[in-house]
Amino acid sequence: MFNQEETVEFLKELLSINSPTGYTKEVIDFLRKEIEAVGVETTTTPKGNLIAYIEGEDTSVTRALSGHVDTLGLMVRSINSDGTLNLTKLGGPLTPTLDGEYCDIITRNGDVYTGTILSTSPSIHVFKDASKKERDIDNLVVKIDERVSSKEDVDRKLNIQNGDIVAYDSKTVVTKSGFIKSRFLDDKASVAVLVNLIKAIKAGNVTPKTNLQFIFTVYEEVGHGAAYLPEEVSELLAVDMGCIGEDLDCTEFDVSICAKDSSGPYDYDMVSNLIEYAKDEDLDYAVDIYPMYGSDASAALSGGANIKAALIGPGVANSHGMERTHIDALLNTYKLLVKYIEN
Amino acid sequence: MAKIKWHKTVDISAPIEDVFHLFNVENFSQIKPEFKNIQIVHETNDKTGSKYKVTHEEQGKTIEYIVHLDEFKNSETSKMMRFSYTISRFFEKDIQYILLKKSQDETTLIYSGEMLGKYVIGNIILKLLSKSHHDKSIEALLTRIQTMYKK
Repeated sequence: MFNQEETVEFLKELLSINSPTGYTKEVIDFLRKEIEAVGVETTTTPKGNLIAYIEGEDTSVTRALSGHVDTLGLMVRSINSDGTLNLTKLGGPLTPTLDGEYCDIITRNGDVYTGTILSTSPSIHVFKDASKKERDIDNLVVKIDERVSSKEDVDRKLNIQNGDIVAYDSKTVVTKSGFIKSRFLDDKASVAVLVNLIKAIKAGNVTPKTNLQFIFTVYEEVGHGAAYLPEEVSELLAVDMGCIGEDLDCTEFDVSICAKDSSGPYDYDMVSNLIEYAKDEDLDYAVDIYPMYGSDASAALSGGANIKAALIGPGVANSHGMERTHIDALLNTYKLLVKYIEN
Repeated sequence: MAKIKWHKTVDISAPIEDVFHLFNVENFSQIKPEFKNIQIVHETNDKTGSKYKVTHEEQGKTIEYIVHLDEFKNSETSKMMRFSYTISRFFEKDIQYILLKKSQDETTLIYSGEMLGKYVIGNIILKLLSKSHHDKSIEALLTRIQTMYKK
């Protein structure tokens, strides 16, 4: 069943791999190996999504479960005359939380340099506006950990150029009390749960009612992760972080069932069934409306997929910043998924 | 990261095409009896990029994993097959078989590869796995092939 230790270990490994949206080959390869190691067949779509195939009792119906492995990140927008790097966002990071973060700059020829993301007024002893300066993307730069002091140095010595990927540290910590603190729990926490589910199915602990496709998407953070779905998929359950905050019932211990997000309401019957399953299993759960959110399910629907779709996921606080969840949220999500695929 | 590497060369008293025949999906279990079943998942025209599902039985345990044929070369005088796979999520293996025509009735087999430990557990197990034990299993595979064609 739910292997807590293995899931957390796998999640930590997953979080340690740089995978800003648009730079996901390494993480997809890692995931592919993990899944194929238990004998599950996979394919990778031209866009880079990984699909794992599991046969169910009724092979005439195919349902899909999705989780995304791309994360927020940054890209070099331009190089300043002092050798620092201007940035553009990949997805929507909460930029004030980036000030002071360590990062990797990944060049097109595969070299990786380290650096620090800093405000353009980074020292309290020097800049009058150091504390008040807005930490938006135009006021943040990367200071590279190399002896460079000009644009030419960066260009010629390091081969760093506009369009290079900047990936910042996940800063993952798992506390004794079961909290998981890390960037990018959106959506690697769900991916870890889905991989655990695949292993449980292969071990014979869970029997899916229908054929399943586990779709691990890339480009979700920019809105089109699951925009393409294989023709045979008739139903998609997106597994992505549940929102926590004002006007929302979900906590870091719950599985969140989303009734509606910015893209509109999810399939009425699917949502109703998921609520019933959560009640039947006596799970800690919440039904919420996400005010500013889109998912792979909405991407699939917008992409023209003729499917029923819904969205669930572990409650994750402080999304797109220093995120936090609890192992119980992963457990509740796992249990709801088991109930869903067995029905 | 713990790693075991090997590179062994043996001569086999058989024509290259005969030895190569052993590496077909239906015959491969003669080389590796622990491979109880090999199922083609996807096969390309030139074999490179093909995928196979292997059912592996050892010490009473059965596991499945997917094997990738990353490179395949086939000429009259030489053959090469490079495979990669992950076993039980803790070990990544990259292995290569090269067959070289030595004479009409003799073939040289070069068997090389490396096994990497993944995660803490994989690394510990690989460190505990003695090199002599691993060498023995490789020797056994090579001896098995040589014996098939012993005059």
